[in-house]
Amino acid sequence: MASVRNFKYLPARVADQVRGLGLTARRPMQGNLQGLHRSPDFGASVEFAEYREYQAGDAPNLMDWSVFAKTDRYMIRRFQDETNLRACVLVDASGSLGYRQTGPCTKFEYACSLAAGFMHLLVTQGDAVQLAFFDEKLTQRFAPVASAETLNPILLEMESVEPAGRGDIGQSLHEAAELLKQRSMVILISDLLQPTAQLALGIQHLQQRRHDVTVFHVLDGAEIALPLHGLVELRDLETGEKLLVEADEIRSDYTRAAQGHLDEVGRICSACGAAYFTIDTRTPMIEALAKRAGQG
Amino acid sequence: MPLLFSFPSVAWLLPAIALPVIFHLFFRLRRQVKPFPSLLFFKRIDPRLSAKRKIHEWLVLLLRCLFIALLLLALLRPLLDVGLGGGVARLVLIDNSASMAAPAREGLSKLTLAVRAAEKLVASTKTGDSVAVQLMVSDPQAALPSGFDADPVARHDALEKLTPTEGSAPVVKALRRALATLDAARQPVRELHVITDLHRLDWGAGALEAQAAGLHARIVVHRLASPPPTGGWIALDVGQGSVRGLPAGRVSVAKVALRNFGGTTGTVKLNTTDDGGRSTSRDVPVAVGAPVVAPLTFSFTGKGFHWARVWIEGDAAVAIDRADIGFWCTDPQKVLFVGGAGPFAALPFAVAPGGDAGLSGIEVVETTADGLAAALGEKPLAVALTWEDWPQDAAFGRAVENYVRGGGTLWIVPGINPIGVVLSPPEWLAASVGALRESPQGEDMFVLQADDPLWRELRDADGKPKLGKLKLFRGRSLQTGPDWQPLLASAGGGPVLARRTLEQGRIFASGVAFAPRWSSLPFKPGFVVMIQSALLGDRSVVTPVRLVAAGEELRFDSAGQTVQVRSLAGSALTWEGLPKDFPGLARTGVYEVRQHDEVGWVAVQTVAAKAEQVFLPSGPVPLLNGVRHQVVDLVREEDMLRTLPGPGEGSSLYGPLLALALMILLAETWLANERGSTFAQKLVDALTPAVLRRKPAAGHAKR
Repeated sequence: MASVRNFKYLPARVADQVRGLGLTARRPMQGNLQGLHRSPDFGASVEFAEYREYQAGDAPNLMDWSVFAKTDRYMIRRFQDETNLRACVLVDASGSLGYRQTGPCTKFEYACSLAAGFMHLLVTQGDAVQLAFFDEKLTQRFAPVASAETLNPILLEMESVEPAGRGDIGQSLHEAAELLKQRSMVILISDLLQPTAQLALGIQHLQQRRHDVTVFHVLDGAEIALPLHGLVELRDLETGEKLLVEADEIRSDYTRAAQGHLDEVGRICSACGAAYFTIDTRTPMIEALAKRAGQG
Repeated sequence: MPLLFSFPSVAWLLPAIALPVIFHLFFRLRRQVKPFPSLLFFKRIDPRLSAKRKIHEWLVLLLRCLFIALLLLALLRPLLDVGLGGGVARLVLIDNSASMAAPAREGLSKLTLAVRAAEKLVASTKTGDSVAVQLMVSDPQAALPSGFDADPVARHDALEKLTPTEGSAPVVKALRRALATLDAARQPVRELHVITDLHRLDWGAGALEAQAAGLHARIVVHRLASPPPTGGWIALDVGQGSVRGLPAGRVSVAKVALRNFGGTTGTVKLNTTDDGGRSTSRDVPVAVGAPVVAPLTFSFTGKGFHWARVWIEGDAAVAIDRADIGFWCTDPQKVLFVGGAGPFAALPFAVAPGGDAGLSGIEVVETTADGLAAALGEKPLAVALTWEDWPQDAAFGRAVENYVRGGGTLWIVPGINPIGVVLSPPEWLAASVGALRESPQGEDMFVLQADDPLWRELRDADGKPKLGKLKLFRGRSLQTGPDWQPLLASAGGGPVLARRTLEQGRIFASGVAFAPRWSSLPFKPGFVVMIQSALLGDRSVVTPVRLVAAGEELRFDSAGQTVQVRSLAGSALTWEGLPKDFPGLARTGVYEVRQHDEVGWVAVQTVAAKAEQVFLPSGPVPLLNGVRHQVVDLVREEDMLRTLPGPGEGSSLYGPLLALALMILLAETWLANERGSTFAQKLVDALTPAVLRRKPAAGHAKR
């Protein structure tokens, strides 16, 4: 069951650490199989849900005889159903993810590692998970997998993906929302470098489809601190646009603007009921994973 | 006001002004491009920041370009032209006096070095400049064009052939002339370069007048060093002044002084030659210090002008070793002895020692009182009478009086016969003698008026007449009026010899006869010299011959009449013009000077004092007190250019431009550093030890 192969984004050591975590959906999920997650349906779990009048056709063994003895009414005790979930990991593969300044790896590599960790965690607890890369739209989708054996090809395939091109997160989220027919756990891993209005629309669209949305905002430390000096000409990794700036002069204004963007994204996610995590690429992936796992 | 550039070749570097722009556009940006995830947040910042930054960048760029431009402009050494014209007027004044003939270094004479330095300066003349070369001692033989518009080829040729003169330099006059030439230059910036050895004889006295000091010219004195002479350095000196007329045939003695200014004793060959073709030569050792006086004898038979040349050879000195002497010979002179020569005892012998005119050029002529009037018509040199034979004839007296007043010389002495009766002399004589007075043991006689010209040839080294111990044995007391000058006196009887000037003539009255029984004077060797001096020595006879030093200014009778000068011996010269244009006689030789109908002769000798090795040290020149000047040592001709261009009268912009460039640099450094330019930081980092350098921000390392 355990993966013994070392993948770029999921080394065996990390996989072992991930396996100890547990990830649950914050919303009831609809699955095909019995699982760990709360289902909107009633089932055979140990968790009491409600009493209901006996109706013809109900199994007699479901009747609560203690209640009949006290009230002389035929009542049936109902329990919450527990099911597995389907998760979708959306990884931003636009050009801006290829940036690396202060961290040990690029933002894309970090995002892939995080995605691999999530996928591994989900399949080990019996959930199904699918992966999709996007830039301006969804560019590469993988079929849902529910076991480590079927996950390995995906992990291998991830190593060949390179970040490039312009990104449009909002549009990509809209597309994902349309494609996901079943209530799912959606894990968005991106640098979210887009005007927040478009971003908000995308997240809201997923929320309206009753998906459990988790947003991982991956940042390189230099994107906030701007540790540059003097006159520099910056080139946009996505558009190729150049801008001449005096780094020392605009640092404070830039940091204020970047921090404002983070706050705005956090506020939007909170408003939409999405879980929002800001992750620096210098943070160990397992810690980032544990943040979400701890919220379950 | 246009600018003049001393080093226009620096202008080739002017394109360097564009370097900051090139760096700005092509160099710096390539190094600073950095990829970034998104420019989203930068665009949210006030976009005016970039524009402000660009303005700042262009301002820094402008300052850098301005700094380079000012630096190059300063290196061009601009001179602000405050006048209407442009350029610099330079006048080179070369000292060509005798001392410049001495060696300076490596066998080169100081004058050769000066000429080469002048040529260097002339060759450095730039467009808009003008240059002139003048000589301190006017030298007609040099034919050097002296103006600013002189033909360069002619000037070069003249400088190539320039030789030192044999005179001293009239420094003040030459400076005045040079400054006047500069004053007429059209260029606003003027420089006077004087190349000289600063010989003390020329530069030790005099002063440039205030008017010249007010001229706006920069004066640079290029001082040539004078190494001390190694061997004998001997100068020749003969007297100067007017030449006395001499009877033809009379042997003339010229005393020549030889003085050694060198370090060791030297022996020179003293040579003479004259216009009669007679030549002599002899060796004369000359020790350092005291002069050696060498007598030279000359004798000319014909009357009129004669010359002789004297020179020495065998020592290291040059240009101070020649002298030309002029002589003016008259016909043999006559001295009339009235009543015969006998009563005058030794006087006729003293007049004509050889018995004829062979030695002295003076002939003794005996005459009578009756024939005197006719003899006076021939204008004899002198007339001798005795107190006893003074004729009482009034006509005789008038003839004698007229003779004296017309320039004759009258001797009145007692007759040798002591018993003679003294007749009363005429009143115009204003002198008489008393009774005969005997003194067998002899009374001491002594000289009065030791500075009288009569004793000139008899003075010893102390200036006292050298007649020895004189005794008077017999004599008549001499009574003279106030116009008489006593010359000899006895201890007990008052004056015994006196002289009086009567208009143009002279009268010698004696109370003692020139006989051994009367006094010891005839036995004295100086007796003949005394009588010869009385007859010829102090006569103010004007002769047309002058002895002058080379370079000495000649005076002419009329300033408005043309003068013709031609050389008879020595340096070749033929010149004609107005006296004010006469350049002077810079070299030894004998010259004939003709103006209108008058003819004169000039004999020129070197200036012995120029041989003395005394030069002013480097430093301010006293003669130029009150005039801004600088003295620089000139060792090689290239040194001449070191003073070019100098800070001329505040018109140089070198200093202000350099200061302005420095201010611009400081402003640029401040502005660049203040605004975070890496230039200043890199400079600080380069100068700061590595351990003290600011550490880069965490994570700033490039991937």
